[in-house]
Amino acid sequence: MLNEKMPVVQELETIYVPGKDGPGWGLRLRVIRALGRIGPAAHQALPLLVEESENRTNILRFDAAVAIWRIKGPSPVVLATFDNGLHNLNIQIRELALARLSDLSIEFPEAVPVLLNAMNDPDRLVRWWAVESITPLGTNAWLAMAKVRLLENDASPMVRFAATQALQAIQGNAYPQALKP
Amino acid sequence: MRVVEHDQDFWVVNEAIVALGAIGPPAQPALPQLLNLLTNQSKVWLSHRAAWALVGIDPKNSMVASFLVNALAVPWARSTYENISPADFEEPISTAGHYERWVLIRALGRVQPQTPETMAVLYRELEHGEYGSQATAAVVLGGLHPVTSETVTKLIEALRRSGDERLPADPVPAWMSPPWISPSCWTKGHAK
Repeated sequence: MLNEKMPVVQELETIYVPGKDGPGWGLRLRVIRALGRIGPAAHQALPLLVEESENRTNILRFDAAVAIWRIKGPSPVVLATFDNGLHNLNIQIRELALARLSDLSIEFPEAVPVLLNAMNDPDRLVRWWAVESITPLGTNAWLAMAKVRLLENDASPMVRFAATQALQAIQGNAYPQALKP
Repeated sequence: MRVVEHDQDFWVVNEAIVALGAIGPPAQPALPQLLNLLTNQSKVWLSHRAAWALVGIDPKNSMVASFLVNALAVPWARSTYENISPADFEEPISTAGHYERWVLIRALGRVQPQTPETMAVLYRELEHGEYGSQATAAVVLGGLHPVTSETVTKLIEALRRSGDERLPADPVPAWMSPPWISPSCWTKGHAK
């Protein structure tokens, strides 16, 4: 079984977010996403975004990592941020990293190998969500096939079921959800 | 079009305007009715919806661009019509909310081509608007094509400015991890 194999980094972190009554609430997130959406033309913002993504107490670090990816591709900083997020002790942080990776992989299938790390997660919900994130990519997620095959023998029935569905999609037997009209 | 012109139900007209905007350029025959609504000072809410629909149908219409610039030139959208007494408003709802301003900002972002006047309004909202307007302006600026280096600089400044106040949260606030996104919330409850 795949469960409990992946070592989880024993690291306690204090998470800080912009105060909801403060001037930064919501704005920070949207500016980071806007810079990512601009893409390579926003290269001036890279030092600031790197600073954002390297700050372990910043809850928007995964959004900053996505923005960096969109501006200059998968740099070591981005990979380290997601790697740290997916190995975090806090399940919600792992889910947050997975959610951003899931969004990213629809646009950039090269992000799929990073997302595969979540399939080794000790929590069945994270593993299930990782497999579910792969399914809409269809044949673009072919790199995940070997890993998804292993999850067909997972301890959790919901993960096994999702893995079967994902395999169908990867092999082109199901219409990818992301491309549905 | 008949609904927009003749229907007496406010919400039906509202939905019809939004639907015309969603149709896009093929809804060109509705332009006269929508432009008429734009200048109707007693129907502020519907005029904002008409502006939204018009930029969907004809983004190059200079009348819409100038309407949006003027509407956003004052702190509150309704202040544009402050010469009208509240009793003269024909609408059942308040049109003075933040949300109205966000609709106008988003509509301005769809105007083509962006002129120095429209860009100045967007930059002003990003720098001096209330925080929802700032966030909306950031989203709009991020979606413009082509993007100038000035836009990137303004966004970078906004990012630097937005980091002034931070409060600890334990561990992920509900708004970052709502139950419909996060599987662990389905079984373990919300982070309070």
